[in-house]
Amino acid sequence: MGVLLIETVTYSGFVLNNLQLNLNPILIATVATFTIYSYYLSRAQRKFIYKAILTSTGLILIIFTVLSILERLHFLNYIYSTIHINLNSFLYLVVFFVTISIQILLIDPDKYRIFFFDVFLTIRKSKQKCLLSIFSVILAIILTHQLIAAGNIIAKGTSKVISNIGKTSEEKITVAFGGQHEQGWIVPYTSFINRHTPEEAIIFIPPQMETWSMVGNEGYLRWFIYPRKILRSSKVDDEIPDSAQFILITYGTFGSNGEVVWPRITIDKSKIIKMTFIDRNTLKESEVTDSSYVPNFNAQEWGIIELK
Amino acid sequence: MLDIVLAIPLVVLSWLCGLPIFFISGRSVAGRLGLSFIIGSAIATFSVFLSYVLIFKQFSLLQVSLTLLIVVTLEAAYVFGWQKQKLRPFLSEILTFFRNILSVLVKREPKSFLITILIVLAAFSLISNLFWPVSDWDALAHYDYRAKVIVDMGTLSENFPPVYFYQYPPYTSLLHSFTYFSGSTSAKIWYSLLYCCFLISFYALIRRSSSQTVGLLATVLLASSSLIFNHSMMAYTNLPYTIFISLGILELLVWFQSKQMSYLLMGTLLIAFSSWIRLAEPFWVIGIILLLISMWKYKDKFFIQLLSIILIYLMRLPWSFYIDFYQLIPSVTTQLTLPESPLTYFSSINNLLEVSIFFIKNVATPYFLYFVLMTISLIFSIIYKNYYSVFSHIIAFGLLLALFTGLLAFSYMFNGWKDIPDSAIRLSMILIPIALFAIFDGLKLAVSHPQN
Repeated sequence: MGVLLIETVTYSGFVLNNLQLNLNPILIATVATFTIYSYYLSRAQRKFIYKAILTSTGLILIIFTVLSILERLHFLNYIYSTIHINLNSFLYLVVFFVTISIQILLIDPDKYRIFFFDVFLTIRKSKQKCLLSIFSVILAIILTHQLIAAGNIIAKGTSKVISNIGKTSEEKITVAFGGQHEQGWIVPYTSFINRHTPEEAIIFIPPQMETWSMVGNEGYLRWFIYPRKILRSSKVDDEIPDSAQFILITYGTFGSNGEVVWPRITIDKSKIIKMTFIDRNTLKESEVTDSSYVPNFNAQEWGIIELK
Repeated sequence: MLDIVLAIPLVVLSWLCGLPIFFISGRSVAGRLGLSFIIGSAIATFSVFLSYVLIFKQFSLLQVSLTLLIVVTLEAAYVFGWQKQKLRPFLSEILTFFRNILSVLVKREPKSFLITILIVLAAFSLISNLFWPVSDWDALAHYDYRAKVIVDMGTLSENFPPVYFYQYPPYTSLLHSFTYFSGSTSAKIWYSLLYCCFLISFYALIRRSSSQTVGLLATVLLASSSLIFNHSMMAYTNLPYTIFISLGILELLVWFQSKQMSYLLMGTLLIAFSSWIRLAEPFWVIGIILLLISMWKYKDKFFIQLLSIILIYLMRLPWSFYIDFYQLIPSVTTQLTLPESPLTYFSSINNLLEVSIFFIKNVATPYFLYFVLMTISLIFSIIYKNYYSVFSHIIAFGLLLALFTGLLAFSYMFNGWKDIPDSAIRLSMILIPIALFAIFDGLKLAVSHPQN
């Protein structure tokens, strides 16, 4: 426990780097030793230690949940920068206490008797006793890890729900995708497309590759712009099909590595009714008429071209 | 709040489609409650699909409501009319079940702690699904998109038919459409309800031969498993499929042990309806194998088991026939052709090695500790001569082999098989409930009758 406390107030990996000790085997060995040691204690001693551990576990779980929610509501490393507690390492402390507590619930001979202790008292064959010990330790470890992981999801999920109360369905999907400046951009961008195209429109989209894995994915994009029809290009510089009524102007929404800027061909103004652009940062829209489309690699342009 | 209220009527109607299941004799309230919703949802969606194909030719709120009302009325007439079941015991049994849960909660016992964990997990899943709209990639690309088309255009045809998507019958899409037809946007609520009923049904199966605390412990292990808990908040077909096929296999395992007809019936229905969720997976074959083995054991029930096998196979046909009849694409079954000779699977050592490494890394390693527990419980099953439990373990390990063989076959059919490890991991979810059942089944005799 001392080792875990050191790790909690320093950084993850401190013990491994400075004392050459891996925490996982320490955790397993401590739980196993505790299991065996508790059999040799008197009833009163066992009762006292079990009560202390179970109470501490409850307190530590509450503290960890509160700290996790606070971290989520502020910024990464908020807790470490405020009270110098490393949450990742604190999690190890939580894992340790929960595992020990689960072991107590499994083996406490005086009160709980869930499963194994009665068997322990009656099984005289040491190999079977050994097998049951291994079984209960592994069960405790699996349960601990699963509950901690689930608890983590619940803590993060709860704070995410709290900080997004009152948002519309569209805003929630944007948040679910990581926000407007990440993949969530697909949501306001396709809303913009829907506002500037009729429902029976036929829209020419980029190929499904690299940064266009979302807007170039016919099966995916159709959910956002339904019931508009889609024509997908197969190459970056494909010619515009005759049946296309609109063309997406897209820089790329799926990360920033790879091909960007589409369409790649120049479209003469004689083929264009108008071009409507949207600014990704401000969401301001602007319209351009009587102008040709020329691919611009110096700016992140988003919009739609209406064809004649 | 309005969203939830709007979704309630069709959710309740879907549950009531499983009404007869609640009156099966010889089963606990928990088992009947869980299974009635799970199977009810399948009956509801299948009935709506049939009424669309055969009668209405168009999906609408009227078509859905009318179909469900007719199904529920017919079932209620059978249960309360011809079977003379009473409504009052039905309601009082449900109330007693929830009262029992509350009474355990207020006591300071390990059981209360375990029930609290289950309630917290289920409540979070429900709240998360009510709050967040559908946003998962495959759901937007297919399942939820299809629901949009069903609601908007009233048909099952889509703008373009990617071959890949037609191996998914419209179970989840229809569930989403029920929500959208009623004016709600909380389509993911179904996954939380299925998750809760899955836990209740699983608990009932374990509780058959274990104490309340052990049953709850096994259920907490299932509920808190990362894959299953995460998928209760995703609009994918993997969790519903896992629920149907794993519960089906477990029901048939209990049938094999107990020769109680209700387990045969439930197991058959669950495995049959699993093909209504995902068509390409081969796990329904395990159900057939179990039935063939039990036909040899219970020769006096030969014909009823044969009927079960036929039903399981027949349930695979409606969706395939629909696609073929309306010529949407070539039949799904002919799309997934296997190599001519089974020996082809093993002739390429390189491929076998690659698949083995992929399997160990993405499927076997995450479940390594479960396999250790299964091995220990298998040893105890052998020591205490619990041969039914040994059989459960063989089925569990057999499932692992089926996963590996399926992956190997897939590697021959699809060049990009290595690029989708997530798919393999999702498919392996089915191992968890079956492994847990085998583990706790294996230890029960060791606990109750320890050898000295």
